[in-house]
Amino acid sequence: MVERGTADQCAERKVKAFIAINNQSGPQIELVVRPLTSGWRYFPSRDAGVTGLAAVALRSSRPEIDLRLWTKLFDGTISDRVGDAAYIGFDEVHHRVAVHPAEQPSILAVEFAVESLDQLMQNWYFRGNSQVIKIAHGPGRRPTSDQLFVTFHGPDDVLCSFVAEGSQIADRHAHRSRQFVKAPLSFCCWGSESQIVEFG
Amino acid sequence: MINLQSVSYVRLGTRDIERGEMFATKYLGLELAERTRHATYFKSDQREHTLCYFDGDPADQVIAFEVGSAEDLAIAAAELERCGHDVLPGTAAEAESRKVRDFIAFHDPSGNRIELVVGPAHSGRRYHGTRDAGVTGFSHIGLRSTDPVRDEVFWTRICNAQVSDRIGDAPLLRINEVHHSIAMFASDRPGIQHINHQVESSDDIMRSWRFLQERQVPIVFGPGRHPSSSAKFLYFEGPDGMVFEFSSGVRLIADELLYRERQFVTEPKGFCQWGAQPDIPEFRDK
Repeated sequence: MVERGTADQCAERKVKAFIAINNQSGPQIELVVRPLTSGWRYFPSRDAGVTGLAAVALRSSRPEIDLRLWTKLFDGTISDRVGDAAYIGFDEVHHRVAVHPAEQPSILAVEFAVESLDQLMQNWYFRGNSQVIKIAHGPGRRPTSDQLFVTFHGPDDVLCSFVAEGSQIADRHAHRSRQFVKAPLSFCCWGSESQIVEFG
Repeated sequence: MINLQSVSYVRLGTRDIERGEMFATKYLGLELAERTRHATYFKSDQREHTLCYFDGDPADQVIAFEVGSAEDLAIAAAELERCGHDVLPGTAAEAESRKVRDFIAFHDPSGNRIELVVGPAHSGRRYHGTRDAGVTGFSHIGLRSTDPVRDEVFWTRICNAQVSDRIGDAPLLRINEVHHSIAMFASDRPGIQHINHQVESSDDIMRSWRFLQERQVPIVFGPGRHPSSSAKFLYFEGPDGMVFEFSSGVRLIADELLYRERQFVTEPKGFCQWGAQPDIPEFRDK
């Protein structure tokens, strides 16, 4: 089902216009036009080294259907698979969306890019001083995307990840996706332990 | 001036050579080079050996440096005697047991036993590790000093070392373009404070971190990154309380004219720019 956003909804999202797609097996997808760009640059409250939103990981109750949505309706291509999970990209970055099979559809993790390994590790050590931040996975490196990552529990069961580095795919149509075994080492080649059910 | 070219090998006395061999091969990933009746030798790179565990007192520790030629060795001997350090020439049997053509031994002002060697053996075979630790070779030592300010003078005036940086009074000394081959720390006794092997990448540091944790090897510092040398590091404890370090990405100082040494504080942030806290007494302010 597709719905056009109202004026109030557009204002909440800081976009000129959008449509919402409810596909039942995944979270609601919104396609937006003219998202607001700020005149002021981003200045963080602490030096986390964040450079921007990188990717999102989704739980899907019907992954094959959702993959058709991302690759046939939208112009994504599958970069790699781990078991039945798939990493989908639209530009030179390895992936922007990851789809993981699950019981209930939802957002699994929101991923923010940080400048480098230094910032990733500083963020990991920073959580040591905080009672609030609990690490869910990492620090580690994904063998699929070569990305460094550290994932921690955010509010309401949504995970947050910091990511850095990562491979580029210059020609997506020439790229051949690889199939990785569904096992912890396929999600982290450093050997970090994960509390994330979908990565078991 | 005594011209040191590079670190050559470490010799460690131990009452349990088997444990030393297990740790060196299975955990450090070094390659077993040779077993003799009283000693076991390990390779970490193209050299015939860079670490030797021998039957003996764990307090018996030696660090060896390579000098260029027999002439350099003679110059070194003369210089040491001139400065009041007793020189102990190596016998033929001792040289063979160190796999070198010739060597002399002396004690530095703190009492550390130092060997200067000529012609350390290179192997025809390249290094092939016992596990995939990514080791590229033995690189440097931490050295205990009962007076780092006094000993810095010895290493930089009598020997050719230069200070790359200091952490408090602890000098990080280079003898070639590698940021440091000797990291000298204040201690109540002489000895080797840590033994460093370089690994290929930060991935290798992190993999070893997980690998060693899973096997309950005490991790005493890191993973982290030194602000001084810019190397990523991991320190862990081995047999007889010896601390070993893996590091990767150490800075090279090629431009001698432009380089200026820096002063870091003896606080965790002087040792690690990521936020790791050292569980190493010599890395804490007294």
